[in-house]
Amino acid sequence: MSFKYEAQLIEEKFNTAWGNTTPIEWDNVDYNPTAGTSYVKFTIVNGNSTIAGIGGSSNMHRIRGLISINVFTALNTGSRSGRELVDQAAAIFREAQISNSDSSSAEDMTIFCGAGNITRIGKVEDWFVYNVTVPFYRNEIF
Amino acid sequence: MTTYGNSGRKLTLDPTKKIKKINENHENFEQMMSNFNIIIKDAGYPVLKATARHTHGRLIARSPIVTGSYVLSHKVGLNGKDSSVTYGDPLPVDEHGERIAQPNRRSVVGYAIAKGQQVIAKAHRPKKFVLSNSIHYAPNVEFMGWANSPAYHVYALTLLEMREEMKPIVSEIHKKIFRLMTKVKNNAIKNKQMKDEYVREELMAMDADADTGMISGYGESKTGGAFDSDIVKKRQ
Repeated sequence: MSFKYEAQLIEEKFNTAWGNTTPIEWDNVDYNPTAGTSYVKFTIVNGNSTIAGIGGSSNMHRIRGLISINVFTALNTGSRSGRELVDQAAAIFREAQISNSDSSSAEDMTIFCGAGNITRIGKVEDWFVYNVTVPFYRNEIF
Repeated sequence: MTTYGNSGRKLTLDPTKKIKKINENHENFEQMMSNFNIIIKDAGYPVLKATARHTHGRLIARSPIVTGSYVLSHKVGLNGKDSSVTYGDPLPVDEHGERIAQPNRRSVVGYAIAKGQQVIAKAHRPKKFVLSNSIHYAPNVEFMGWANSPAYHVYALTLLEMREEMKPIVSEIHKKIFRLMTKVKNNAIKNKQMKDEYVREELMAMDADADTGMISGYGESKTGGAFDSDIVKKRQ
């Protein structure tokens, strides 16, 4: 169930830190944007996994992925507000360590985030879009 | 052949031979340094080419293929970005340039790999390769997706993979450089030891000669006092 907890941890972190800054479009949740109101689309993309350590009967796997946040701002309103939002979004995950090592949680897990990349995508239909991508990895013994 | 100094003291090696050996050693050292520079300089090119080749292949393997245009637009720029248009269409077209066959994944991928790898193979002492995609909807493929298809993050995920795979390769290169450096260092130490030994023996021989008054005018006595021709004359 690790992929489930991985997503849960990352999404909870973003939800808490982002608060009411803008509405959030979560993965596989229907969302209808309001014209002219900025919003963000939050996605977790899983990458490759490799065996990082060999144990007796089980091995440690390193599992990698990307946190992708698309920031949508209204067209013809300049780029300042969009840039401010991507700054905020990138700061949440930049070199962050997200863990749920408290005893009540079902699984102990630490997610290590890297440096964030910000890309200006530009005009897409009725929106002006920026993207923030932060790579992450976690270790798990299988 | 046993050689003796002016004082009749036995020298371990003929000074002429010793100087020759030191010079040879120095030449060897210079040659080794020169080889070392060439090895370090040239070692980077195959690594750079292999990295570019693998990364380009991974990009293609990870790319979605609908019409084949995106995958044919992965460009390998030599020493800079190649912003030219999509590589030629490998599919048969009619007199208006319209395709008369549906894209076949194998032919599209094969063509894309061949075009990119040509640039890499032909590159002579490249400074860098820039991998990019020139098609206008590349940002959609990477970050946005469409209504019925997700964002593929082709470049970001490939980069994640390649970074991880390059770690052991870079570590192996570091080890090789370290081994070479150790060799160079040992050679330098050996050279210095030989020079020191030679100088020490020569000084000892001169010291002994001076004590017996066979040479004069320079050097230093064992007791640390300077002696010159006057002192030597007095002894005489």
